[in-house]
Amino acid sequence: MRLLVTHRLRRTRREGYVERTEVLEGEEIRLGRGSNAELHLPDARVLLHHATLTVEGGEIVVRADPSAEIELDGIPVDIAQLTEGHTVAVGPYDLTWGAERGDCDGAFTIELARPMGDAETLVRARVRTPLLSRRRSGWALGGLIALVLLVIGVGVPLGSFVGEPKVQRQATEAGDAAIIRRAESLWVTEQLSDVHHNLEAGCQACHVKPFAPVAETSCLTCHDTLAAHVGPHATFSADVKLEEGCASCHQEHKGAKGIFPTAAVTEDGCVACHSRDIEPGNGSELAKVASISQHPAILYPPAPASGLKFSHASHLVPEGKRGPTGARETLGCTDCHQSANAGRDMTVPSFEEGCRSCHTLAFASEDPGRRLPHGSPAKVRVAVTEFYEALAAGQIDVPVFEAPVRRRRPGQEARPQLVAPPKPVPVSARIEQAMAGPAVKGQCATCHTLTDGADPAQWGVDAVRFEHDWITRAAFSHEDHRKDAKCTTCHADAAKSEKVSDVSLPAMGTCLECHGSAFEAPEVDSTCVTCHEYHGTTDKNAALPNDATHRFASRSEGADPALADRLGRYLKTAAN
Amino acid sequence: MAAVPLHSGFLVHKRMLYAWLAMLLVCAVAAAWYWQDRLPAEHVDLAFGYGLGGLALAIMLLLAWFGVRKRSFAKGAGRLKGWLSAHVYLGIALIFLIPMHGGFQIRPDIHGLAYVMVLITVFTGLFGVAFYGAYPRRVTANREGLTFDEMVRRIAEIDIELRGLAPQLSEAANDIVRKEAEGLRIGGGIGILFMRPVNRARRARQALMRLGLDSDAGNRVAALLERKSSVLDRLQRDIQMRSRLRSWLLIHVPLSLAALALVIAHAVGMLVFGLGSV
Repeated sequence: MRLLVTHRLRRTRREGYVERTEVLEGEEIRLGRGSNAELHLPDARVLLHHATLTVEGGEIVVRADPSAEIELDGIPVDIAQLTEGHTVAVGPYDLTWGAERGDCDGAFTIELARPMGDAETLVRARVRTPLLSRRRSGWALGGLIALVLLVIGVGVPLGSFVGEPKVQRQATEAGDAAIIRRAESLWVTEQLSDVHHNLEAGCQACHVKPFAPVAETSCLTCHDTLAAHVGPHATFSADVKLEEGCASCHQEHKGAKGIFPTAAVTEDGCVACHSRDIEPGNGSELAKVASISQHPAILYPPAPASGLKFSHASHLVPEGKRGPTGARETLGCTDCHQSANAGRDMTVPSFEEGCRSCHTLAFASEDPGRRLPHGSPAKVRVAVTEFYEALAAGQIDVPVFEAPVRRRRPGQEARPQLVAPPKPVPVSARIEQAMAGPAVKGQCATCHTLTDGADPAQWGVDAVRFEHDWITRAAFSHEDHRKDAKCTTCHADAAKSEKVSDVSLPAMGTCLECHGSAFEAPEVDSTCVTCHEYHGTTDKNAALPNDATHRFASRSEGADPALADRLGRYLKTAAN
Repeated sequence: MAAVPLHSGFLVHKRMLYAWLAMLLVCAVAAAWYWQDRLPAEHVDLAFGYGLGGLALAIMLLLAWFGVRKRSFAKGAGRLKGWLSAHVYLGIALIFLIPMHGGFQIRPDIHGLAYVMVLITVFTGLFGVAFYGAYPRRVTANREGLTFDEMVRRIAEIDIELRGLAPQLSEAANDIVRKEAEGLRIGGGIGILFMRPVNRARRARQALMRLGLDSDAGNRVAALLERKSSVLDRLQRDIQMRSRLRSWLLIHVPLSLAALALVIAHAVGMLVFGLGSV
């Protein structure tokens, strides 16, 4: 058997091959990388003895060695016939049928179709250094961090805005509320103030739109009774900015008491205007204020004509006053003045409560227990008339005093004593006498200023007026001051007062003994709004709604056009 | 100066000028913090907090700018060494400045997370300083004058010789050599930071020895595999050390950018949305 083998060594540029031919002779021809193989294939991927070629019936047959593998057109086979148009692969070598066999029994070409490739390229392909080219790892890690932050920081809190607002549900379902609070706690440094704790159930109670600051409308939903800071009568220079919005003074999420403006807020906010634009020349009746410690004097309104004569000095004598029983009693402030209006004010005593126990208004020796009523002269006259008429009719038991017995001197004749019987005085005359005399008129004049009429028995009592609002521009409560101050701390001159018109009210300096800005370390940390109401009302009874949650729940059903309207009106009144 | 490693010279740059400046800054701020904390709370703390927050943010931006500056070695103000020196010491100063900014209250929220991120960034940076003090000399020593490419090429040359010799070996021996070449792996992922992969060339040689060598070709193949395994060791060590040298950056850079983003979110949240003490 002779076979013509064409070795294809390499391709030429023009689609051809550089070739070398060889004639192999033998019963069979062994293919392998072993040195005893007739067709030597020096490649590590070929076995020592890989396959055997024979010619059977004019055709070349390739038989694989039992431990080797050959392929016919890419399909693994044990035996293959080398025919036209087909390729038999022996390791990386391809065998194809050859037409030009000359005088041989058969012909085929063999080519190293799958060379191992460039060693350096292969080695380089095996180098893996992802850490040295850190670009991709960096992006991966950075992306992961960004994703985690996005989910925790934004996704969780914003989850409450997804879908329909469910404030009502959140308020009732403690679990939801807890989740939301946890998310809030990621961003918010401090908790809600005490007064708003009932809003904790849902962020949306105030934060209607994500990423938008809380609008005034949210505040005014509950706080809808606030009046404008400046009344319509005030005039200002044009650049005065009024009503800057709730948050300029009230900030939430600043801790339990954080909602209340601090001294820094009020002094920056209030003093900024009240030290500059508020001037008498501007038509303002207010004085300038530079700080709490430089607060202007308190201007008490002038005392009205009281119609009373009363001396604190003569009542507050240390040895005490003698009462109707003759015993002495030392009077103190609270014997007459009691706390009123939930502790805010002190009472001025009524006659019956404060005066009658000493000033009994007894007027007739015939009936020492009988008292005049405390009322108008007409009422008094009725009482006096009643008494004397009853006396004349003998309806009153007049206490009888025995006349003194005149004894006869020895040696003298007993003579009857001639005593003129008392002239009967008509009742009407007695009444007039009493009314004009010390028994009635005199007693009234002790305390009241009287106006004389045409007749000495016809007199009038001046109107009594001492209920008076002394502090008109600030809120003051006696109750707040009771613990730390005595009555005389502020009303020092009361014990020396001779007249009702004496005003024993404290000057501003007395207030400043305790009150001051927090940063001046006073006894009582104070801000402007400690005493002064910003929102134009001093009505202490105008309480805030307790059930705010309920009202927010109703708001969540949709935007309330009335709210925006109310805000508009509110700002308009403020601007006017 | 001679004792200072080449690659950590930035630590003592200009007689540690930036270390002293950073220390001075921290001491000054600490004194100011002590002083303002004892004043009545009004007015002072707010301005101090804002001021210190602004300062810390400015420092963070300066530190981040180093990433830009280092990419242009010669351009820009100052020497790169000076920039790196300031980068390290100002970064350490941040650890102390930020808690004072927050009044030493670090809570488990976004704001606290920003600080933790800064902390991790700074500590990975300290790892970087330590690595740069140790590894560059060891990398140079390990290479013995060869470049990485030269080492790779040397392995390729050995492979070419093995290709020529292996077909002359027995079936089993050829198999061992062929599989060694096919299974070659140089380097690796995260794992290489902690341990080097098994040297397959050495294993192949041992397997070959067990088979028993009976020819010249066999002896030469064994010698080639021995050489290959030593070059491979060197390569793996090189990759390991250089990976360690850069590994900290893998955390340092993304985390610093995330921290910067978070700090900006924190500042915007505070100033615009009034999340806290405005």
